[in-house]
Amino acid sequence: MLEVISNLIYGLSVAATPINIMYAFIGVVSGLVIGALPGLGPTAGLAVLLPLTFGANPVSGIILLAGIYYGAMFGGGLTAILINIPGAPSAVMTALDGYPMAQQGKAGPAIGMSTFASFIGGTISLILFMFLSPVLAKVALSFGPPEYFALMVMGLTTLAAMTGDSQIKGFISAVFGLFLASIGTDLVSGLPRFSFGSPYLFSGMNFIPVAMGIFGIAELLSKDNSAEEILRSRELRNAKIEVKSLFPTFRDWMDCKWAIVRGSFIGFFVGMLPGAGATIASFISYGFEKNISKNPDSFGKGNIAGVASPESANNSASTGAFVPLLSLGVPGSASTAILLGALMMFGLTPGPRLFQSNPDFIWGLIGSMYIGNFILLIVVILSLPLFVKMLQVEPSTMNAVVISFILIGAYSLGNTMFYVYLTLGFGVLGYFMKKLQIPGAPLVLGLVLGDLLENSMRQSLIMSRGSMSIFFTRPISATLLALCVVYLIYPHLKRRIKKKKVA
Amino acid sequence: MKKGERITGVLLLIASAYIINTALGYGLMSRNQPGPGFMAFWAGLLLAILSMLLIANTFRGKYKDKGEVFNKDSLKYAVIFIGISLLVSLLMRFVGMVIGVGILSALIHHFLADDKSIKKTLLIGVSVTAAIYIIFIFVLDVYLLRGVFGF
Repeated sequence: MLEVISNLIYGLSVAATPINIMYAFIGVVSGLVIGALPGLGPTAGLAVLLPLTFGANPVSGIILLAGIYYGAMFGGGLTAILINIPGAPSAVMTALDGYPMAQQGKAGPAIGMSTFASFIGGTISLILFMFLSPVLAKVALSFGPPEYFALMVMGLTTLAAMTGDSQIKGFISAVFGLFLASIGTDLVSGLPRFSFGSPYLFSGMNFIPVAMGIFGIAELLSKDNSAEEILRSRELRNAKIEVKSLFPTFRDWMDCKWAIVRGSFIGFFVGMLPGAGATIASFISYGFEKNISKNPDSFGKGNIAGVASPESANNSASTGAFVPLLSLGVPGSASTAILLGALMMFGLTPGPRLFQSNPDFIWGLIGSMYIGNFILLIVVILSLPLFVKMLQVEPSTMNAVVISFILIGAYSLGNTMFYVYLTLGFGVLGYFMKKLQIPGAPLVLGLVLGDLLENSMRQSLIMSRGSMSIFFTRPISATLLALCVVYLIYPHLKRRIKKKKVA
Repeated sequence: MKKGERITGVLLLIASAYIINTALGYGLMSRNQPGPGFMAFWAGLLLAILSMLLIANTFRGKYKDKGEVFNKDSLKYAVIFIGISLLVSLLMRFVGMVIGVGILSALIHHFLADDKSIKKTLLIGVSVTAAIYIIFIFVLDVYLLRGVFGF
């Protein structure tokens, strides 16, 4: 306990430097805007704004990215409440009660409660994160290559199975990502694989052009100037919010206090699970709150607890997602896969050893999250009317700015136009994937984890002299692989049992 | 939609055949441990199985036809967007990155906006150029491709 507190004080001292506070501020504000704009959610936002971290030290860079991540998570709720268009999938549940509240003239209290619920959810989850992560990291120190291999297979399996409507499409995406990861020079034999003679591919497929293309450009390509987009900016022009209306009343607090606490815990633990993430956390939290409510019929008609619960859950989930990322080195979502790639770009290897080798980074990040959450609260309360004005920007203008950032970022990776063309190419691929409803997240995760997966598999097979039985004879790896199988079979079994019961 | 899935399945099958064949050439195992083609081989094989399942599912009625996936307007939008980006990227070798993204943002805005006023287009082009210069060259000190104007 005392150790955690002293670490936190150290982390706060790392994070509270003027430059890091500035990075946290820029991250939170950019995240808020990106999260609030329909289409560009946290993942695309992280991919597009990655270039802003070029030249920054790892601590400042990750503070900026973390700020974008939880800023975007909150920003998604703003347009959900004001105009019934969630900025991100995780804000869908917020719209159910937030928009009816806005229609009843209570947009201010709805946004206010969503802000405070996000802040409280973020803070509770940070406390849980501080205590749980080091413990998990200590456990993970005993993991060998077979356990890591099984853990990565589990991360990929759950994400591929849970994203999108079709498991097959999710797995196609993940396997294609693994193939992309195999591009580049083989570390053992020195043989260049699938590089087509291009020296830029000798060192492997860089994940940034892939992420920027699949999430950033594909989003821009599939977002035309539809009537919905134009309606959005017109409706926002009519939205009037006063700062004083943002503070919830005593009655509102009484109605929401337990919903926020429950949402925070649900969000954190669901967020930790690979493949689950903030969207599912908000769905579960909302459903749970409705089920235990004395007045379930009021949900969907403007019940303020229906805003507080999913908002605390989705913000809490975004912190929960850092637990497997930092303590095990295995991201559970597309956003955290981008964060993992960014960490590698900074020369850091996420995993249990990071807690020992880079305590300034880990605790600086935790400290910055406290500061970032507070900045988020202050920024929203003080400048909400200004934000609403910023969101009125026309889609064509926003797209023009975003594509510029993406191309600059792609070029800066290696000071070559090759990455620019590669990004555009993956943008086209991402566009077709989006149209065919093939999720992009498993592809990026497959690419990011591919190298680690191949290395841990190689090390395991060296240990076992080529026998695959090593993965099934060690208790932890066998359990993790068994869980993958259960995870794959369970939905099909459930469906069959249901069909039999109906028959 | 079903048609889209079938075409995707066939294309993936062809790709997986190429991946498997090339990976076999790299070698699957060497000295009792996975060789350079091991991972790509298994990825290719899994991809082949999954693409066959994807195609099979379209015949089992798993995917419903949800109308036109690629409607004319949305495809036109995507082609214009990517076409402009590609052309300006080629132009960047001469005008440099900073001016290039200014031109790109102006063109993207002009072709895709409802309000096609030249004044607004120029304003966006100049603002993006200035912002990119300040953020990336002045503040972050990032090297960007230089053109005939010297930056």
